[in-house]
Amino acid sequence: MLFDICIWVAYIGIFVWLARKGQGHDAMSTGKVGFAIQALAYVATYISAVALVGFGGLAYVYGLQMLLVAAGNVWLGTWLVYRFLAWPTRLCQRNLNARTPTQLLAKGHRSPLLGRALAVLFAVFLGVYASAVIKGAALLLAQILPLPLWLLIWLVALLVAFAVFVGGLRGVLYTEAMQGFVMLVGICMLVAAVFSQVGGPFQGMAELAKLAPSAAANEGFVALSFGEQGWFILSLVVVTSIAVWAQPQMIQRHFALTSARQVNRITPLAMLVLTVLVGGAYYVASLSRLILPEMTAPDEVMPTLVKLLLPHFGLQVFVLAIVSASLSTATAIFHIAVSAIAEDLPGRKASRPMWLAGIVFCVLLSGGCAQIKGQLIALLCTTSWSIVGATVLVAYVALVRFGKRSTLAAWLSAVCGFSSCMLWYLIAHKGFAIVPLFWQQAALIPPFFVGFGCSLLGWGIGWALDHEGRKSSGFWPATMQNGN
Amino acid sequence: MQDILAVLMQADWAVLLAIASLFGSLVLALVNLCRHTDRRN
Repeated sequence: MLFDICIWVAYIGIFVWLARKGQGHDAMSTGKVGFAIQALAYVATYISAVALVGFGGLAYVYGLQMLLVAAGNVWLGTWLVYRFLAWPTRLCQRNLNARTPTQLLAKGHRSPLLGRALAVLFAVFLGVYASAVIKGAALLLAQILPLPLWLLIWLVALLVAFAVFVGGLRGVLYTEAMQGFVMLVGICMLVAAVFSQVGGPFQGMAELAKLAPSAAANEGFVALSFGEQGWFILSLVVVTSIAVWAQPQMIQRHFALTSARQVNRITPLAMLVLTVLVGGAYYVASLSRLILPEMTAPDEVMPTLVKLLLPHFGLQVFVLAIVSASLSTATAIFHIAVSAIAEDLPGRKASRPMWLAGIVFCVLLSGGCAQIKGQLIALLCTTSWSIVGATVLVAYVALVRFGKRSTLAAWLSAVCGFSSCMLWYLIAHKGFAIVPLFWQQAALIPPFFVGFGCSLLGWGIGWALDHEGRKSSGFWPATMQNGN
Repeated sequence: MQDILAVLMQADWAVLLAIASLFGSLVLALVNLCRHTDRRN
């Protein structure tokens, strides 16, 4: 018991110490941050507890085909982002003097009103989405701490708020890096334990190949499923690896870059950590079928595996890892939601009291939403990732990668992306459909795909109509084109 | 080595692609990290 307390006190102590590294800095500025911190922070923001525990459970159900999601996250969600988007984003942000991702898009497309609309979208969707992340951490903590869930929810929300208030963006990056490292240690311990139990990765894979196919893994556990199940896995690859490009909390990670050369050092480290984290987690979760009895609840797979295989110390470290995954995502989301309320919405630089007011609002929103169970909150939590991606992705890539600036095109793409994605959830999503399905197979098309397609169409129409915008769209100065 | 190949051949193209790309990213990451560390030294 004393040992457990020491671990948690040390964790919170380091968390607070790292959060204070941002003291004296502007809440939106990062100062100079090393490449290892940035790489770990990017991965920690990317990977939440849903990715480790939820998708780990899916790997148990679907088998090794879930490695496609891990590979997509590594190559599309990390390599491609750092290769083609990260440095142009930083140049664009510096050139436009944008302090937040919202300002980047608003100033880039010369529309303050677009900035305000996006600020509302980010504050509402990310504020509520943070409630799900915070509740996930509190639920896990409730398994090892003798405190009621409602109290743990408020405690986690306050811890996240503390990091954002004291540390600002710089403090958030440092705490995320520490959490990324804890996640890495936790997953490495689990991977080692599972491999030793099944006789190694190849022995385990050979045993897995011998298992009879199931309804979800209808081609066996070492093959991509046929039909709906296989399509589900492929759509998961796209949604988790491409929608991530335009999540504001991920865009903001590029603001800390100091040079194009730094990108070359961040990319391999981020890929390495992500490969071990998600590749390792999904591989061992698939192999857990050889160890565990038949599980009816996929979310229980990872916790059961950990309880079965790891010693008490390992269990504590793994719980820390999952809590870290939640906290790191929550701090990143919180920072975006707070800056949307405190700075982007009023349209002026946030003062300290305004920043505090934004944090209080977000704590009440996230903590409050986490306490209640409602269909609307569930809808906002589930749809957040896809809606934000579908709304912002096209306008963001067009701006930073191709230097295309157009108020009309950006508005049309954002409105088309948002409304079509939301509409698709309301007519085709199994959990939220409010009108009868006009076409049963429609449920197979992920809302992000529909939203992205409509957003692209909206951009095309807007671009074709915006003659004046096209003429004055020479965004990149000569020095920036050369990557300087 | 042959045992490993025999095990891998039981997987279909999609899982093999995923394993190869994850393994590739590990190798690429390590090589790049070493190269950049060397350059720094």
